[in-house]
Amino acid sequence: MKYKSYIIFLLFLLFLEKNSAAQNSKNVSISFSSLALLDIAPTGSINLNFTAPTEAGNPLINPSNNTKWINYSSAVTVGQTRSVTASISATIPGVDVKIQAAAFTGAGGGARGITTGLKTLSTSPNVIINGIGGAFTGNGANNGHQLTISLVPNNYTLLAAQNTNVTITYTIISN
Amino acid sequence: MLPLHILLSQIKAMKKLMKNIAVRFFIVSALVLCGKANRAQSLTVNGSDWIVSKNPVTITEAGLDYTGSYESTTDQIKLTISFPDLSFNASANVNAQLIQDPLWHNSLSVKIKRTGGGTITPGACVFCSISGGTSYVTINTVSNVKIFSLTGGLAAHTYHNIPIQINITGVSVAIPVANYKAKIVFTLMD
Repeated sequence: MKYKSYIIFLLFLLFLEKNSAAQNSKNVSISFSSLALLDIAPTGSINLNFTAPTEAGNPLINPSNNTKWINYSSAVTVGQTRSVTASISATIPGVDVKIQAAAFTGAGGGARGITTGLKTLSTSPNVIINGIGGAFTGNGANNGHQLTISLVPNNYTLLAAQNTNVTITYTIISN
Repeated sequence: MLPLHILLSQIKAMKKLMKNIAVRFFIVSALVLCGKANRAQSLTVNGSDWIVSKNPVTITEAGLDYTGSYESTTDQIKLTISFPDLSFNASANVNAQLIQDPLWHNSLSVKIKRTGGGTITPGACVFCSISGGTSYVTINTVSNVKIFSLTGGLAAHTYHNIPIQINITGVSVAIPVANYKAKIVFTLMD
């Protein structure tokens, strides 16, 4: 029994010797700040014109445009989300300006936003995309959320032949 | 033929002698092994912590992600490793592991490489060699990764200031906004 104990002790010392390890360290650190960038691609204005009906008694044919895309880059803290709102510079008597952001597509990654569906714009901001986390959509047309902008009469009695310039303002906000 | 009582006493004496030899062998072995353990190879980490400047990347165009990789100076970390005695043909591996301290993000990939061999004292070390680790090796928070190896020489010697460079990739806006910090722990294994 005594010899067994001696042998175990020797083996322990041998293990210590064979597995001696020295350790030491240095730190590496990196910081990321909050970031929110948004733009509309491609740049430029769009023209929306009602088309007169060719048959008496029919309504105007509503115009729409889907050439615009929303791109964004967003860096947030854990659990934080952002939304995109849209508003118009002025209302048009008798006409609704409607907008719908499609689901994201194209390049990009992270927690991209979710469309809130068809919205009628006013001079107050309306959320058109929400739930944006840390994400990027890719840059330019065919990346991000495609926008469909349309005009819809809401009161024919207020309609008048006119050219009206309306600016749509898009804002990315923190929730 | 020896009488039985003489034979028994001789066996007893033989057993006593064997026991003495065993005890002496044990004492000598223990002293040698304890001595060796006390004179184990040592590792010192010098240089400085690497702080990637605040908000290291700038995006000027919406829709884009952070890009690129970030590299420290070529001698951000300097390792000094001592072989205390005759260590001919003995080898040691320098391993590294990333330990979050207190917060790290696994999308951030840290690589390190050896950019030189340092200097050896005393000057001429017969059979000393250093190998591997001159290309970036990815280290992680799960296990120790071998970076390079050293082979001992015919006498006590020290490798001074083996330069180490650090690289970080994997930066993205998808990584939550925070300060991330980790220790690069170097381990010298026989």
